[in-house]
Amino acid sequence: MFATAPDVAGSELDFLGHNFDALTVICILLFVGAMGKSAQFLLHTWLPDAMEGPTPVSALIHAATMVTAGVFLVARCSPLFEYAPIALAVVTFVGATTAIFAATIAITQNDIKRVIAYSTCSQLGYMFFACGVSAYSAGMFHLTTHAFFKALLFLGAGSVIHAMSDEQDMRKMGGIWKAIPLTYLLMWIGSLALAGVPFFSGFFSKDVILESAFAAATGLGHYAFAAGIAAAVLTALYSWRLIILTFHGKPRADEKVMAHVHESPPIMTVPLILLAVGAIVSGYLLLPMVGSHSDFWGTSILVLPHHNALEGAHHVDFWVKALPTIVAVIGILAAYFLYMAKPHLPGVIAQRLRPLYLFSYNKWYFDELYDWAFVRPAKYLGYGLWKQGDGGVIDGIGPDGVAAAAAAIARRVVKLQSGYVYHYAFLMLAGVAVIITWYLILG
Amino acid sequence: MTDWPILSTVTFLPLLGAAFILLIRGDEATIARNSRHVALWTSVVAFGICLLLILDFDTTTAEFQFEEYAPWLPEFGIGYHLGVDGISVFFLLLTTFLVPICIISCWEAVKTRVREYMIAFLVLETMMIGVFSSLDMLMFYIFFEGQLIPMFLIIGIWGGARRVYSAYKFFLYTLLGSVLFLLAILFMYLQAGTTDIPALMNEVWAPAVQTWLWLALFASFAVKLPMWPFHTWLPDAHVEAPTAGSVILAGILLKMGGYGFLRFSLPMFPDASEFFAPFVFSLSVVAVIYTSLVALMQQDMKKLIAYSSVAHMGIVTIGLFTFNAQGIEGGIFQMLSHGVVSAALFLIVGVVYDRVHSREIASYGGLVHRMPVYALVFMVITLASIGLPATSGFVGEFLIFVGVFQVNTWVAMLGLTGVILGAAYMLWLYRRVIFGELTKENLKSITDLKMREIGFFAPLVVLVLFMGIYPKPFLDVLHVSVENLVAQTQMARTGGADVVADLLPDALARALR
Repeated sequence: MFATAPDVAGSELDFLGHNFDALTVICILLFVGAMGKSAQFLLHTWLPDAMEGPTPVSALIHAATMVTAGVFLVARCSPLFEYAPIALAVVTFVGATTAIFAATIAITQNDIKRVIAYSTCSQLGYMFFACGVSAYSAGMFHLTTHAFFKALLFLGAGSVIHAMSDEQDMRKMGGIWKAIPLTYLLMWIGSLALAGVPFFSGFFSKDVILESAFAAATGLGHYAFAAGIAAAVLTALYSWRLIILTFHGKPRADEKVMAHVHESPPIMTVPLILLAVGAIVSGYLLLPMVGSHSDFWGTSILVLPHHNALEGAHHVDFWVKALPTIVAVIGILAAYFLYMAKPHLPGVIAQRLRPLYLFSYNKWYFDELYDWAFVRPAKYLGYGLWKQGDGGVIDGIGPDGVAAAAAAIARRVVKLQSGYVYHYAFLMLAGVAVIITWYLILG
Repeated sequence: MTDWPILSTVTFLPLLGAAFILLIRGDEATIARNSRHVALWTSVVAFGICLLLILDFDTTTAEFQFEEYAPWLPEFGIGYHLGVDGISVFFLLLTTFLVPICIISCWEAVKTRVREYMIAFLVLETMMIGVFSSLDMLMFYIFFEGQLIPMFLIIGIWGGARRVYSAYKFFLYTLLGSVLFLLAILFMYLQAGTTDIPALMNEVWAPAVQTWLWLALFASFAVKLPMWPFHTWLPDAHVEAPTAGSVILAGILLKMGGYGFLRFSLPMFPDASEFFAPFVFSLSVVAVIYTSLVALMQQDMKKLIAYSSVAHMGIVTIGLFTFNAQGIEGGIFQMLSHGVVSAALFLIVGVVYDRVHSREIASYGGLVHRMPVYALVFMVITLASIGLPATSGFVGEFLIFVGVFQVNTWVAMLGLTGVILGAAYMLWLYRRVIFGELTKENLKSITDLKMREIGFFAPLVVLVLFMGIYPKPFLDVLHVSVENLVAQTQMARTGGADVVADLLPDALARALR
C-alpha cells in the first residue's frame, strides 16, 4: 500500500459528491480516527473521564500505550501523509491546538488524576504536531520517553491516592511529603522529565519537537512552536502546582486520614523506581532516534527531502534551543511563587479573572456543549420520532388509520341494512325514478 | 446418499414430529413433558441432517444442489421443486440451529398448552425451511404465507398483555404485502407459463413489466424485512411475543425479506432493481438513523432490540443493492450474524424476564453483582451487535461498507453514522441493566444462569466468535453463488435502468432518483 502511494498522489477520489485529492481525504480520515484514539482537540472529552478507571489501567492504557496509538498510526503511515500536505497541515494545527488547550485546563483541575490526564492530552498534541511538520521520528521519540514519565506520574499519583485513603482531590491533601518521601521523590523525577528540565528524558524529546516545528519555517510551524512554548510554561506550572498542593503546605485532610498516611509497599514502589530510571535515562539511550545521520528507523519512516524539518532542528539558533528550558524554569518558579510563597494569591487571581478561571475549570464547557449539541438533540429526536413519527404518523396513517377507516365505513354501511321493508322499497322506487329520468334526459 | 430426498426430509420432519405430538396420550404433565422432548429431538435431528447437508455441499458450483422435482400440477407447469444453493443453504442451517435453542429456552417458561405450543413451533419450522428450500414460486408463496398462521397463534395465545392487537397488526400487515406478491406470481405465471424459479430466472422481462413486478415484490419483502416506514408492526410483535417467538421472528422471519430480494428481485428484475437502488438506499439510510435514534430512547428492552433489528436490516438492504460481490456477501453474512445475535439478545432479555417479569430497563441495574456469567454473555453479544472486530457483526458490516463505498460514499457515511448510534444505544442499555449499584429489592436474590441456560447460550456465543474470527468457511460457500448472482444482474442490466425511467411518469422518476 505504501509503495503505491507516490503513484496515487495527485489522483482524485469521489467523496460525498465532490472530487477531492485522494490521499488528502484518506489521510484526513485516518487522522480523525487517530484524533479520537489519542484524545485530540474536539475528540478529547473521553480521556479525563476514563480516569475513573483503576490507576494502573490509567497508567498503561491512558498514558503510555493505547492513547498513543493515534500518533503511531500517523507515523506508521508517513509514506501516505508525506504526499498529502494539506492533511499534514491539519495534523499540525490540531496537535498544536491540543497542546495549549489541554494545558490551560490542567492548571485549574483539582482531581490529581485529571491533571495528569489533561497533561497526557497536551503531550499527545506535541507528538502530533511533530508528525505534522514531518518530524515523525521526533514524535515517536517523545512517545517513548513520555510513556516512562507519564506512567511514573500516574502510578505515583496512585501511590498518593493509596496513602490518602482513596482521596483524589488535591484540595484535601498537602503536607505529606515527609510521610511518603519515596513517592515524593519519584513524583519529582516524573515532573522534571515532563516539564523538560535538562538531563531528564522529556528534555531531549520535547526540545527536538519544538526545534523541528521552528525549523519547518512555515506559518503553521511557527504557530506550533509558539503554542508548544506556551504549553511548556503551563506544563511546568501545573506539574509543580500538583506537587506543592499534594505534598507541601498544611495538611488539609482530616486527622483520621492523616494518621493513616504511609509509604506504599514494595510491590507498588519497585515498578515506580524502574519507571523513574527510564524517565531519566531513556532520553540518552534513545537519542539515536532523532540523530542527524542515524539509521535508526531504516525505511519504516519516509520523509520527503523538502520536508526535512528534523534535519533543520539541529541547526536552529541557540535561543530556540534554550527557550524550552528557560520557560520550564519560569513555570516552576511561578508555581513555587504562587502556591508555596504566596498561597493566597491563586485564589485572588481566580477571583479577579473569574470568567477565565471558570472557563478553564469547566474544561472550556466542552461537556456542556456536546451535551447541548449532540446528546440532547439525539434524545429529543429519538423520542419525537418514536412518539410522533412511529406512533403518530406511520401508525396513524398506516395500520391503525386503515383499521379505523375500515371500521368507520363499516359502521355507515351497516346503517343501510335497517331491515325495514319500506326502506328498501323506497330506495328501489327512488332508483327506478333516477334511471327513468336519466334515459328521458339522454333521450 | 445422493438419491435420498434429503431436503424433503428436513422440510417435513418437523411436521411429522408435530403429528406425533398430537398422538401423545396421558395426563397434562405427561403430555407436556413428552411434547417438549419430541419437539426437541425432532428439531435436533433436523439440525443434524442440515449439518450433513452442508458437509456434502459442493462449494465450487453456483447450481442448485440436492434438487428434487416431482410434477405436482404438470398441466399448469407447477411442480414440487426443492433445492439449495450457496445463498439459501445457510438460512436453512440457521433455522434448524435456532429452533432447538428456542425449544430449550421455553422449557420452563411455557406452562400452559404446552402440546399446542410445541406443535405450532414445529409447523413453523417446516414452513421456514420450506421457504428457503423451495424452487417453485407457488410453493415458496405457500410456505411464506403459511408461517403466518403458527406465528399468529404463538403471539396471540402465549404473548403478553397486548398480544391480540400485536398479533392482528403483524398478521394483517404482512398479509397485505403478500397479496401484491401473489398478484405478481399470477402475472408471471400467466406470462411465462410456469412457476419454476430457475426457469423464471432465465426469463427476460420487459423493463415496464419489471418495474411493476419489482414494486409488487417489494411491498411484500419490505414489510417482512421490515424496511422503514413499514416497520411499526415489528416492535409491537416483539414486545408481546413470548421469548422463543421473538427469537424466531428476529432470527429467521426477518431474513425472509432479504432472501426474497436475493432470490427474486435481483436476479429476475435486474433493471428495475438497479433503477430502484437509490430508492432502497434512501429508505435504508433513513431506517438506520431513524430507528437507531428511536432505539436510544426506548424504555422497554425488547422494543429497543426490535428497533435495533430494523436498523441492522437497513444495513443489510444497503449491502444487497450495491450489486457487487462484497456488498451482497456482506448483506448475507450480516443477515446470518444478525440472526444469531438478535436471537441471543432476545434470549438474554428472556432470562431476566423469567426471573423478574419485567421488560423495563428501569427495573434492572447492577446485575453484574449477582449474575457474572450472564453479564459476560450479554457483553459478548452486545459487542457483536455493535459490530466489534472479532465478532460476527464486524465481518458483515465491513463487507457491506466496502461494497457500498464503491457505489455511493454518502450512503456509506450515513450508514456508518447509524453504526455509531448502534454502539450508543447498546452500550447504554448494557450499562443501565448490568452495571451500577444493585439497589432494587427484588433483584437482590436473583440467580445467575442455570446449566440449561448456559447450554443454549454457549453455542450462540461460540458461533458469534467463530464467525467473527474465521468467516472463511461461510464466505467460501456463499462466494460462487453470489458471484453468479452478480454476473446475472450485470449481464441483464444492459442500460435497462434508463428504459425503465422512460416508462415511468416523469415526476415519479425524478422523485425516485
